[in-house]
Amino acid sequence: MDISYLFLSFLLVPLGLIIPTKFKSFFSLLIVSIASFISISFALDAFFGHTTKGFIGSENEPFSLYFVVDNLSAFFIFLINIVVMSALVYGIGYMKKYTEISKINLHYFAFNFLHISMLLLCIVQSFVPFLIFWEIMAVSSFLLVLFDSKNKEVLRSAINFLVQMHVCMAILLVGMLWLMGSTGITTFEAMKVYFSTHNNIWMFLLFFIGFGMKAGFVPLHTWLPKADPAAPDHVAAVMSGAAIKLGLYGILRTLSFVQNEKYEIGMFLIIISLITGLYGIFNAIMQKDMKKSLAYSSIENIGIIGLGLGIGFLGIAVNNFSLGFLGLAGAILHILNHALFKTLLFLGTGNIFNQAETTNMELLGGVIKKSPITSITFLIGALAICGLPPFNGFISEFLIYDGIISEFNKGNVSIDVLLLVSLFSISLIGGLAIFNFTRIFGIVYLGTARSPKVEKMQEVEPIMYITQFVIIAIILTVSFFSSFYLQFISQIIASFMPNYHTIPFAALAPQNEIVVVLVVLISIVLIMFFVRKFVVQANGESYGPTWGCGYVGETKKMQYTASSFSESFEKLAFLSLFKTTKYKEIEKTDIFPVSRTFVQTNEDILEENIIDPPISYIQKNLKNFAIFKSGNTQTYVWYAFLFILVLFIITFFNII
Amino acid sequence: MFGIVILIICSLFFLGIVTRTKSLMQGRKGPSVIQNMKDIFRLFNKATIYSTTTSFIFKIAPIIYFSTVVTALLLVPFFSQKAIISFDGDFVFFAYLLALGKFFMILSALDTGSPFEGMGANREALFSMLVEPAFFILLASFAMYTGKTSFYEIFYDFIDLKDATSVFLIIIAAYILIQVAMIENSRLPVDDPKTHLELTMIHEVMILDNSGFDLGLILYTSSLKFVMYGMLLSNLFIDSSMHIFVQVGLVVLIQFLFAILVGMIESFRARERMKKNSHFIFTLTVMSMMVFFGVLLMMNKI
Repeated sequence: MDISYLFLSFLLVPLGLIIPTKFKSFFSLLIVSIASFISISFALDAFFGHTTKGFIGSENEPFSLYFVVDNLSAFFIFLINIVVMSALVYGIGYMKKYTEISKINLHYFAFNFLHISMLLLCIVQSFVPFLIFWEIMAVSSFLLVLFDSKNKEVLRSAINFLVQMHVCMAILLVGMLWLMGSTGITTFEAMKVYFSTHNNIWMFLLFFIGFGMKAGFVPLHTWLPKADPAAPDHVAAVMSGAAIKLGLYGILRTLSFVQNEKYEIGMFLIIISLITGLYGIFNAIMQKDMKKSLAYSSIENIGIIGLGLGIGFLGIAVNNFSLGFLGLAGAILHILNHALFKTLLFLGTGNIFNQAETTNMELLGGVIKKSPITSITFLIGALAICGLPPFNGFISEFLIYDGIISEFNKGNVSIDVLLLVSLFSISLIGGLAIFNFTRIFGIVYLGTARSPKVEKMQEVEPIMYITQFVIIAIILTVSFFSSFYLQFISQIIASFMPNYHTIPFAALAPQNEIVVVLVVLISIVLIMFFVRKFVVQANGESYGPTWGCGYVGETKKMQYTASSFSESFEKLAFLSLFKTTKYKEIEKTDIFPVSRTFVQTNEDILEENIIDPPISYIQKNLKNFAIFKSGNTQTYVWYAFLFILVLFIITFFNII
Repeated sequence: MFGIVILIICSLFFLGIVTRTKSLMQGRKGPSVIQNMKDIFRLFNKATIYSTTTSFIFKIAPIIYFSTVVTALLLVPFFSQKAIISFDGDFVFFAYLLALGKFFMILSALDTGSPFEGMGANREALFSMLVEPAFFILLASFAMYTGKTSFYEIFYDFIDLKDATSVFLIIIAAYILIQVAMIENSRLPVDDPKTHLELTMIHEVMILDNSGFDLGLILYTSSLKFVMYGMLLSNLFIDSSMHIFVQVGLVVLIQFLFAILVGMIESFRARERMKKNSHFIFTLTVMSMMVFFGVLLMMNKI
């Protein structure tokens, strides 16, 4: 088989336009399957040690196409296919509500383009085609986000997303042009040449900004919490599960070529990731909207991944291979894990949105009684993302913890202090994640319904939750067969540490023990479950209302809400200072009660204070140029004439 | 396994000793030391009432809470003997196991839909999240000092009573561990199990709706958790060169003293204001950082 078939599958996509509406989703699924099949066959080759390389077009021309499917690409190919496939199958059920043909056409069209472009990005190594596919990815995700285009908020978020993705592309373009100019090589190999002769830090930083914007590192994250809530849920799953991982792919690819200054780069990665992680989870706690909170939690997880990368690089820099392995393996495994549970969680919010048409936590509650199956899937996702055993999040976070802890004692003081800060932050992030996800699950799924929207909810169609079961199955394989995954990841890591090929014993030994403990835990739970069942049956059980502490006039409005749950933390972390409240206090002269409103909103602190001011300044000044825009064809002809005249005068008098 | 048996025997009396100490301090004779266990046993035989608002989460939460603590016990080393399951970084697993139990208890409180229980859940989530860094940094400092990363190896290499700095560190570490145990078990000064106003409760208000077997299980788990921390505490003071019987005696003695200490603290201290709680817990993190820098000093790194 030839890799060019993957490019040809682009051509199949437009055929979907002429398919009857009913079968469009299945046609789209067919194309996704074809693309997955082709890409996975190459990925499997790489997995078994055969790297596919080749050219389409002639060598060393800017537009020729150099492709490599190595272990790193293979890893991302697997990940993208899992996420996209499950999101699309889910989408078949999710999209049934919508009947507008143009929207559906555009949706599936963009979905297939997004899938194929993401796969190609992992494979293509020439700069120019890479940027072209990057553009296709940006535009097709933009179209997907824009699904509910009549909603102004969605439109604004989508345009914001499009602009930011282009800024990100512009930065990559500068970096790539620079590399092409200074080395004359048009593929990623240029980095290798460049990095071996120049200072590594600046070029790495340039690419880090470009790719980091896609990945969602703070302060370049601002598009993510806007685009995710605006998009339909299965699209949000693809964006958070797979698309932002391509930013990480880019960073990993760049890192694999870095030759010197590894110590500084590791330090930089650790610091920026800690800020990202803490900032992400702080904001996740402040949100009232489930999807927005999940988007911020993606940022938090990017922070954890970056921390692992930084620690791994620190390990490589100080020639401590065990630390290097633990850090990198933790990071790479967490990329997969985050893709899995974030997809699961977004599909979970999709179930709610599909039925209740809102994801505002203050309006939900008691969902577990309306749709028990999807509640369990969401619960598993929440447990996994908090890094709680026996799910997969724990395995990757454990590797990072293990790296941090085992490196104390060996390094110098500055490393020790940095690791201390990392340990403090990652344990705080872990604790806060538990705080946030008990909040989300507790408020949305438990208790009683807070609005009539929940009353009419039903369990979603089987096709929507079956995909979630598949993801859960993969999650469980990661936690119970982690050594298999680590074996694969060690092949990827070999490209970062060329003179090191076996997995350090320190990394593998705990994995087997962990599985033993997990089995023990599960068996104790099962035993206790049956003991309890027996005892309760013997003693009898009855039902009654919740104990209201003597008060019997309780209403469902008295329940704890999402904002009241987060308030205690916000006060503690001074986050409540950044909330704007619109409320008129009751004056002394107000004798009779009148209706009043209370509105509380919170904005992204960094966005408001760092990103927005320069942009609005530029906008304000650029507006002055609007006087040239008359809308009159005659005036524009005048401009053209004046331009040519000026050009003529300049050349006539030899000014330039 | 022998260690676990001793711990379980200790756990039967632990809360009884605490109660007895408190009543003696108040000038009462007080109930017998096994009264708490009798109460729990009585609960096991009572019928259960569920709120109609609750779901299956409410029913499985106590089981998971109990099971996580029992599994965590398997990771705790018992004097100079290896824990039943021991591996590098097992204390991370230990902390996350306990967090899993707590996660479900918080959910079960929210499951009732009661505003009071929601409030308790919120506070428990907040305080237990704040205490996590203190525990991690404390054990990481030990790990740095000993160069080992599993519970067993850390404590095996740890003790050196001849060195003054080491003794000083052990005292701070013991203080932190005791406070962590108090917070994790929702005792004074962060939470008062004897309070009667729902608005000021934390843990007690979370389990208002539990009854029968579930309540008994939760109460017993609390006692197990206490002896588990007591075991960690005694590991600080036990030298592996001691005779095995001396070690066992020492463990029982330290558990006993720990129970009395808890009773004393509860007799002579008032509960912190709810606002101050988070400051108090954060101070523990700062103290464990002090241990960290102390260890750096001992290793002549700074």
